[in-house]
Formats: sequence, C-alpha cells, structure tokens
Amino acid sequence: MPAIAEAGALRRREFLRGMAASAATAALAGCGRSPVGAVPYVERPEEVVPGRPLFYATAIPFAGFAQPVLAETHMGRPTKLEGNPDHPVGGGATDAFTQAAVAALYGPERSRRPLRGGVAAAWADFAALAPELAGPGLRVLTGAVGSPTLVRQLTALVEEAGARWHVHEPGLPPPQAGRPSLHPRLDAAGAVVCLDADPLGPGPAQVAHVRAWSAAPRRPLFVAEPTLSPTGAVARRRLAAPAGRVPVLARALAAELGLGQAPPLADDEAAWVAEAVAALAAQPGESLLLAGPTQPGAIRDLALAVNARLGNLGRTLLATEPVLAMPPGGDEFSLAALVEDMRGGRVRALLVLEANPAYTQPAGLDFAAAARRVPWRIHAGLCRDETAALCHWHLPLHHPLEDWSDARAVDGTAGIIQPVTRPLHESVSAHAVLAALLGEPGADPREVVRDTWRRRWDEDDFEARWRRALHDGFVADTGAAPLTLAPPPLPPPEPDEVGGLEAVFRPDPCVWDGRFAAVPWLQELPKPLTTLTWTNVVALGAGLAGRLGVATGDTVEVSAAGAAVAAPAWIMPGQAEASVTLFLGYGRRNGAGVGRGRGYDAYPLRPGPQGWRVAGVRLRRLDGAAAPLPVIQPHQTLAGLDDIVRTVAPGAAVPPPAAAASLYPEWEYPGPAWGMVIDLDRCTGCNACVVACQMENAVPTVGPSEVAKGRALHWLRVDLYYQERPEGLRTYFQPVPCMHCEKAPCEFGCPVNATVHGPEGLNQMVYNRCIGTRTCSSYCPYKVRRFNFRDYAGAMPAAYAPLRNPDVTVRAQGVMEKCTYCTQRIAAARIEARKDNRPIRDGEVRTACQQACPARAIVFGDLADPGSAVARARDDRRHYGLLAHLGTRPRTTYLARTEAR
Amino acid sequence: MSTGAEIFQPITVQVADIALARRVRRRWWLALALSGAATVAFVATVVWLLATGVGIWGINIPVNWGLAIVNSIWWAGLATAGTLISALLLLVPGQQWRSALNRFAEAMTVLAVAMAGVFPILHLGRPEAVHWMLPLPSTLGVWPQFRSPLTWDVASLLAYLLVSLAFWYVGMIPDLATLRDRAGGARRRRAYNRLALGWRGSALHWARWRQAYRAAALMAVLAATLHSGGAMLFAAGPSAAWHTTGLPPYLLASGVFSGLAVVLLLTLSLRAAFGLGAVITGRHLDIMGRLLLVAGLAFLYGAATLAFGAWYSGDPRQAQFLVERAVGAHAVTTWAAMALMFVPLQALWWRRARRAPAVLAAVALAVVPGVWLDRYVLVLGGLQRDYLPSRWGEYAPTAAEWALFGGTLGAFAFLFLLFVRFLPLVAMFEIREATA
Repeated sequence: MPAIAEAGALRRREFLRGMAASAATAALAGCGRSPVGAVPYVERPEEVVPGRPLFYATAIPFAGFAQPVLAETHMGRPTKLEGNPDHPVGGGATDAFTQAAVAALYGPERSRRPLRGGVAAAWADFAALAPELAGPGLRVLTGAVGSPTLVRQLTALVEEAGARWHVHEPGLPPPQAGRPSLHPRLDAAGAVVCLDADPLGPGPAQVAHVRAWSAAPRRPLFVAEPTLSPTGAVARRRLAAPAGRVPVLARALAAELGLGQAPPLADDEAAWVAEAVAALAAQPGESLLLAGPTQPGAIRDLALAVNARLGNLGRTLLATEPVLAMPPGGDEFSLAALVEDMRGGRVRALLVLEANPAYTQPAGLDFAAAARRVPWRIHAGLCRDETAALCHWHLPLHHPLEDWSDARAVDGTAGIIQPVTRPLHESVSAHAVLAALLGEPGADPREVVRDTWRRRWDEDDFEARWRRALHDGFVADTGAAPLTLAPPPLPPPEPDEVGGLEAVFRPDPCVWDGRFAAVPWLQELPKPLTTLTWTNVVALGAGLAGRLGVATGDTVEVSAAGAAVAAPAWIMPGQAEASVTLFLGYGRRNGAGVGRGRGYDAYPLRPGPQGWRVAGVRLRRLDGAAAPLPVIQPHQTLAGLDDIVRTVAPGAAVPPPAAAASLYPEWEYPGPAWGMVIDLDRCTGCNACVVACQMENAVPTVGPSEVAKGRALHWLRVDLYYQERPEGLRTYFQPVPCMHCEKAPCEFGCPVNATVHGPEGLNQMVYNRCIGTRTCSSYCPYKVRRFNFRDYAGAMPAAYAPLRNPDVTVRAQGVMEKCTYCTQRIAAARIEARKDNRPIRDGEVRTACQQACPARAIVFGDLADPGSAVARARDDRRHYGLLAHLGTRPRTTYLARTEAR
Repeated sequence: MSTGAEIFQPITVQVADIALARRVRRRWWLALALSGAATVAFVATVVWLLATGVGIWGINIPVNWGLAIVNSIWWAGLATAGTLISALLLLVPGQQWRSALNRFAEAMTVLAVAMAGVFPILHLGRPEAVHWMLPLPSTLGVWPQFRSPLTWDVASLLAYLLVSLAFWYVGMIPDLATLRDRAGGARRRRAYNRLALGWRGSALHWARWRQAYRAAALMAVLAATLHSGGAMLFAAGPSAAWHTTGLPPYLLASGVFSGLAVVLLLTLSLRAAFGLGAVITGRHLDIMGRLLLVAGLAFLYGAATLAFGAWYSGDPRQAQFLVERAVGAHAVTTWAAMALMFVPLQALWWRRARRAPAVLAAVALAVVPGVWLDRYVLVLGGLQRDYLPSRWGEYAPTAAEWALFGGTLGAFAFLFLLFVRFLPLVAMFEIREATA
C-alpha cells in the first residue's frame, strides 16, 4: 500500500480502509498459491487437501540440461524436489544441486523487482523499450541452452531481428556446433578407462552416470587424473597423472591397441597403461575409454578412435544429434568474440540472460570495460550479480519452479517446465523478455511454450498431449536421435608438454561455477573429497607441500602468466605432484547472498573461457598464520581401525560378529521393524542424500564458524576415509545416518526419557522433552546426534521459512536432534495402509536419502518381513554392522566394499 | 601436649573471638573484595549464559561435555574429603583429633558440592527444565528415566548436598549457642539464638543431638555414591576410554586425594591467620600429611590399574586411549597432572616434612590443580577420540567457560570467608569434650 506508506498524516477512514485491505490480502495469501493452468501429478488435481502434499512433474535446468523432478508442494508452497521416477533419465534419483534448487527458490538474495539504474522500475517500461533494442546491434549472451522454446526464440531473434547470440558456460565445455553428443553407457561397459574424465562426478549427467554405474559397481575401472575425483575414488586402479601428461598416456594406450606410435612412459605409467589396455581388450565391444571434456579435442578424438577400434561405438558409447543448441558459427558465438565486438563499438544493446560473465570471465578478458561501451545493457537473472551491477536494466527472472518453459534432459528427452507456485517476486519469464525483444511485449510465457509444441504436434490432439506432457513431466520418445559415428581419423601426435608445475581448474563440487554460492545448504555441504565447507582451497600434493614447507591452511600464492591468486592450501591425497587444483565458484562479489566474499576467485588465472589447465605455474607460501578451515571431518584416515569400513575380496563374506549379551529384555514388534542397509560398493559420495535429508527434515545450516567448531547439523553424513595401500590410495565413502540401535546407549543414557525406543524399532527423539544434557551424544559410539548449541533454525533468514516441511517439527535451541528414518514418511504410509486395512507394503516407505540416491546404495524397509528388500540385503554375504562388537545391534547396517586385490 | 584444664577456656575464647570480638583485618576485607568481584563476574556470566545458551562455550559434537563437567567432577571430588574427615572418623573410635578440623572441612564440603551442582544445571541446553530430572509427579505423567546413570547422579548429588548441609548445621548448633552466650550486642545475640534453635545444653538436648548427629554421619556412604554416581555417568556409556568398572573407585580415590589437599590448605591458612597453633597442632598436620600420602598412593594405584586394564584388555581402542593420553594432543596436560600430583607428594614420606607447614602447603598446592588437569584429560579423552576416526574432534574452552570456573572459585572463597568471619570455624564443644 504505497499510498498509505507515503501519506503523512492519516485520516481515520483511510486507516480503516487500509486495515480492511490488509486483512483481505492476508486472507488471500493464506489461500495458497496454486499456479494457473498447471497440472498436478496426482489424478485429481482439484482436490487440494490441507495437510496433504501435491506433486507436480517439472524440471530444473542445470547448465542447459533438464533435471527431471517431482515438486512436492504444501498448500501451494514447494518444499521438496524428488526425481521423476518415470523419466528415462535418473529413475527418480537426483543430485545435490537439484535437491537444493527448491531452497534457491526462496533465497533472500533473489531480486524483488526490475531495476533501472539501480532504482525500482516497472516491467512494462522495459517491455515498451524492448522493440527499440532489437536489431543488428543486439547481442544476447546466454549460458548453455537446451530449451526448445528458448532456442526457437533466440533463433527468431537472430534470423528475424538480425541479433547475434553468444554462449558462455564456464563450468562445462560447450558442445561444438554440428558435432554429435556422446553418451557413455556405463551400464553396458564391462571395463571402463577414464583419462582425466569424471563421469561419476558432479555435473548435469551425474545422476544418469552414477545410476548406470551402480548397475554393477564392481567392474574394473581405471582412472588417470591430476586431482582426485569421485570416479577416481571408486576406481580399481588410479594413477595420479598431471593433466599435461594424460595425452601421453592416451597415445600410449592407443599405441598398445595398434593406433599410432607409443611414447616413452615412466614405470608406474607403463604399468597402469598395461593393466588398462588389458581390461579394455579383454572385453571388446563392451569396454569404454573416456577422455575428459577438460582434455584437448585431439585427445577426445583419439579416445573415440580407440573406442572405434575396440568396437565400442554404438554399444557402450552412443552418439546422438546434439542435445544442446548452439548458435551457428565457430568462434563467433564465444564470449571472447562478444567482448571483442563490444570493445570495437559494434554492439548497441546487450542482453545477458542467466549468465554472469563479469564474474566467470577468464584471465585477460575485461568484460566490464568492454561492456561500458555498450549503450544499452540489460541483465536478466535471478539475482543482482556482478554482471547485473554493470547493466542499466536488471530484470529478475522467475525461478524454474515459478516459470513456464521446456528443457531437454541429458539423453535429449524433452519435458515441459511448469510452475508449481506463483512467482514470489515481481519477476518475469526469460521467454517474456525474449518475446518483448521480438515485438510481443505482453506475451504469456505459457503460450510461448505452447506455441513451440503446437508447431511439433497436431492441432487436434494438442491439448491431450500437452496435458499428458505436464502430467508425466516429459514428452515420451523425444530422446536425441541416434547417429552412426564414423571412426575419426587419428589425430596427429602433438608435442609432449614440458615439465613444470601446472594448475588445473575444476568447478566446485558444491557451488559449481559460482551459481549456487547463495544457497547455504550447498555452501555447508561437505565437498566429497575434502569435507570442506563454505570456502575453496588450492589442492596440492603432499610431496610438493613438503618441498615448499606448506601445511594445510597456510596461505599460498598461485601465479601464472602475470596473474596471481592467494588462497589457503590443502594437502590433497592422490594429487599429482606436478599439479595444483584450483576450484571455481568462490570469491563472489555481488548477488551471492551468504556466498559473498567467501573463498578466493580462481577465474583470473583461467587461460580461456574453457581453459582447464595452465602450465608454468609458480607457487609460494605467503607469510601469516594458518587460518582455521571449516572442515566437517578433520581426521580422514582409518587410524589403523579396520572394522569401520569393511572390505572383502570378490565373493568373500564378512565374518559374523560374536553375539553380544544384554541385560535388558528383547523388544517386541507386533508390526514392522524398520531397518536400513547401505551398500558401500555403490556409494560414490555424491552427497545427494545429504541435501535431500536436509530439505526433507528442515535441517538448518549453521555457518562456517560453527562448522569449524564442530557443530554442523547434517543428520546424515558421508564419512570419508583415505588409506594408503601397497596397491595405491584407497578412498572410502561411508554414509552414516542414525543407526537406530536395538540396544541403544542413548536411550538408556537420557535421564528424562527424551529419546526412547519406538514401537517399530525407531530410536525416537522427543524434542519437547529434551533438556539438553547431551548424555545421549556422549554415549553414541557413532556420534550421529546433533545438538542445537544455538538457535540455528531461528537464525536462518526468514525467507526460508516456507521451505520447511510442515510434517517435521522445527527444533529449538538446546535440544538434540538426529536422523529419524524420515518418520513422517513412515507415518504417512501407515495412515494410507490403515485406510486400506492392509500392512505397509515393501518399498512404500522411502527415506529421503534413499529416494535421492542415484546409486541405489540405500535400501530401507521392514526387517520383520523376510521377503523385504532390506531383509534380503541383510542376508548378503557382505553384510555387517558398524561397531557391532559393542552390542548396540544397529538397524542401519552396511554391505562391505568389494576390493579386487 | 597441654592438659585439658589449661586449654579448656582459651579454646572457646579464641575460637569464639574470631566470630565475635576480633577486629576485622584488612587482609580479610581484601580477600572478600577479590572473591566478591569474582562472584559478581560469575553471576554476570551465568546471566549471559542463560540468555544465550551453551553456544557460547567451545563444546561441540563429539566433545559435547567440556569444562563444565570437568569442573563439576573436580568440585565433587573436593567435597568427598570433608565427609571423610568428619563423618568417617566420627564413626571410628579414638579419632578425636578430627575435632579441630571437621567444622571447616564440612563447610568446604557444603560449598564444594554446591559448586559441583551448579555446573550440570548451567550446561543444560534448556536449564529451565532441569526439574524434569527429578521424580516430581506431574500432569505429564512422565518420570525420569531410571536406567540413566545421570538420574542417579542427580539424586546422589542432591542427597549429598542436603545431608552434608544438615550434618554441618546440626554439628554447629552447640557452638552457635556458645556464640550466642558470648555475643555482645543484642542483635547479634538474637541472630545466633535463632541459628542455635534455642539450644540450652540440657541433657535431653545433648541426647537428641547425639542421635541426630550420628545418623547424619552415615553420609559417608553418600560420599561414595556421590562420586560413583558421577563416575558411572562416564563408565556406563560405551566410550572406550571410560567403559570400565574401575572408574568409580578411581574417581573416588582422586576426589578424596584432592579434597584432603584442599582441607590441608585451609587448615594451614586458618592456622596461620588466626594463630590456632594450639588447636591445630603439629600432630594434626602430621596426620593430614599421612592421609594425603595414603590417598595419593591409592589414586596412583587406581590410575595404574586402569592403564594396565586398558592395555591388558587387548582392545585396540582402549590401548589407543592410553597412547593418546601419553603422547597425543593432551600429553603435556597428562604429564603435568602426573607430575603435580605425585612428585611433590613423595616428600610426605618424611615426618619432618609432614610437620612443616610450608612443605605441606607446597604439596597441596600442586595436588589440587594436578587433579583438575587429570579430570580434564579424562573427560576430553573419552569424547575427543571415540570409536570412529571420522568423528574425532577438538575442543578449546572459551572465555565464558573459564569465567564460570574462576567464578565458582571466587564464589567458594567468598562464602568461605563469610563462614570464617561469622560462624564457629572449630568445633569448640568437641575440643572441650576431648580435652576434658
């Protein structure tokens, strides 16, 4: 009510009128926000039952690719995203980024309204201005684009208005225009060799790859890479090789298979290549050689040639038409070309659409200075980021959960993105922005998207197909068309890299290229291979660190080609000694909310928009005390205790533990007795479960200083252990939720009955009975309990309050909390079962971690039912209980990691 | 040794004069001001703590018990010695020497157990609900969880506090009557009269008093439960460092050890300050020195037994705790504690050393912090290095925790100074009785 806010003195009638209007608005807001025209996933959308969630199938775009999801909404408010189980990609699993996407919807860092010159403006004003901007001087800079509608609009802008379209995707190499997309089929490969490739690591295809890999995780996997990756962590044989050395390994490998000349190799390299070649050659047609996207194109071509020679093409390596769209032309669409044109005064108007070049530009590309020569600069994005700060206009965009759009998943399957809530702010759709430039200022984004699909589908069954697509979350049979790939010619050998120190660049596993820096849950997500939170480091090998006298936490300066960054050092196991790793995504300056100013910015060292490696690096230790780093797990070795992560030879069994006696009588379970089994062979440490648990159970973040004190609240943690073995470095991931012990020490330690054994075997927390003696945690050998040392829930920004799952209690200061096996989900299933007068079916209750896990490493169910999946998993020969000799009789148990010796 | 007739009157005069007639000295005021300031700081820190919660401490997961618990068991340990001197020796015939020491030893006990009881309340996440640990009937119908050692720890601490308070007070009644009889001003006389509960020294009074006092003296049992209660809280959990039946006697021995050292320090201070050489004689010092030596050796034996048990168990985690103590993060603290507790103690093998106040003071001054450091290593060692290396953590006490510890020391001194000034600090009637 601006009129009232601005009025000086208020008359009684005006005041009452205002009050009435406020009350009416409040009442309306309470009625929820069901989006217009969206179709829920359940069958009877008109029934919005208070207290029962509605699910909508939609997708979250990430680096141009759709991550298919089902969005859970409570009274019009999204609280959780699950994978879409019917979608061809992912099978209902998600990655950590997608899990956190619903938090980004509510982020306080999001822009509230359009700004012109930093001052609140109206969308209508821009819409009126837009047609003037369209024309040959207009440039549009986007990230990777896969949305058919966006492609249609951009193409129209290029073809009809004479604009030019540039693409800048800093975290992923863009597809080369006109070249096919390659899809490794990890599920079909009997042996996989990765040359600086990280298919199981974070990225748009992580879910698909991990899922495929988990079909048979004990296959031989060989990895050569400069810095430890999730793929390297689960490899059978891993070679720490500098990125500059990987091409040599590739040529040696090809030569062994009869392609080209063999270069000279060191002993350990030769041994690794010999083993890798043997594994590849043993299964021709069912093996796979992957060269990473961070490697030169020639090496990727060489890998393709090797796969062709092995007969893998079309079997374990599929080629399709490109999934992402690229503007025609070679380097013309790059960021560098845009900057060149801006500097030359050839750009009249610049629209930056969901990209942040002012932050993600590589070394030597002064985007800001060039942009200042552009008369009209428009930024459209969720936040007022570094690029927005340079622009005249800032147009807040809808979050994907508020927007109409479409996108293609990594396999090319298209899906419609439908809004699951009304926009929280005065934001607009990207399609509306482009439509305004195309001369349709009032276009409804839903109609724009429908228009795209109307051109593809027959008019008579359009509505039915549209409805079907919305309901399903994808359009069936729209996967990218397969191509037959001719084996490429053997690329000419390039001169070997000279020695010296190199720096390799990696997107951060938790904030990626910086785009997720504002999401506190991703900031506090322990990075899988360091358990570091809230900041980034320079990873270096122990040998190099020893030579330079550097310890973890010391500040080091990394310089190359005239640029330098200072950052804390981290001694990384498995790091190639001639490589240091710099992680992108930190050092944000604007619009990054809680991520602002954290860590260091590695982009100024990056040699090009897609530069992944820079040679001739100098590293020196800077004076000053070592800074404490917010690490979740400071001790990452097994300290000689071999009963924590059990390993078995293939086919071998874990010896059963001696039965431990107890003074207390056995519990009796007339109904189900819940239990969980976690397969350590499958877990790749991807962290999807951790974020899923936080979203489901409204677990707040605590901030870096509290993490450094050891007070992080994650209910589910993934323990990380490194072990030096004669056969090389071993990396173990062990997800640890509450064990829900049958003979729980916490239950008998609590003096006030605040943690008790439930009738279905759950170890229950009674939050409002807890007085915080913390005896339970002192008694817990697994240390899975988390304490609210401060009012963490209350300290979260109020903007995140609607994110909280209404089925879960918000925990107050001074009480203990821990994993509940998602007891609210069990309760929901129990209610449904009772209504039908039947027992709860196996698989009916899925915990949040289990549901998110792309590796299907977590099985949950009723132990009392011998036919249940979890009971069968317990019969596995690899089954063991963590610290079983203590007699706690955990309900969460593990399947040992298989290791071929 | 003097005969009773000679000292009968002077003792009463001397002791009563401390409370009644003696000019208040600058030293006392200075000490009171210092300890009063520390008490104010303590109260301020408590207010801050209650307003913001235990987040201002350095505790975390896994080290979710920190300085507060260290201090609590340290204070509880001190509290056991007072009982040992007064109650246990009261029940053993022929130990009249205790009469010179028991009163202030009991005062020390009461104050120490109060300090021990403050910390477990302050360390709660929600201290406002502390009464849920008590078996109070309520509409909730929820009782404490009686399997928990903590429930019993609360009960033993509370029982010990109440009974030691009663024991101390009941024991003081005849002397309060003496003060009443000797007090100058009418207001003072009225106050002491009220405290003396109208004691007239009739035969019936004495008979009743003896009954009550003997019964209260059974609290020696409670001293054992107090410290075993605390020790069971550690030992009952599965923590490899604590999970041993040896822990309760270990803690009790070390508690008595430190408590005797504190009693010795108080003895020496009071003796010097008030010239009580005739009351607290060299024989008293000698006996105290022997007791301290015996308690120290008992504790050393306990520590050696625990270490042997940990090694002999063959459990790698128990052995690891031992190694961690000896050469790990707390190695310096461990060895400092050992040196402070056991090296100066060896002087007490010699009779001359036992009768030299300076030597005794030096030994006691080393033992008290030594036992505190031992508690520190015991509590932290059990939490910092638990079963899973992934959950190994560190802990650094914050200013708030140190302020609370210093604050209880201050509050203890403050209250003890008031006791010294206003109440009979030696059992006059017992000495009269013993020497008559």
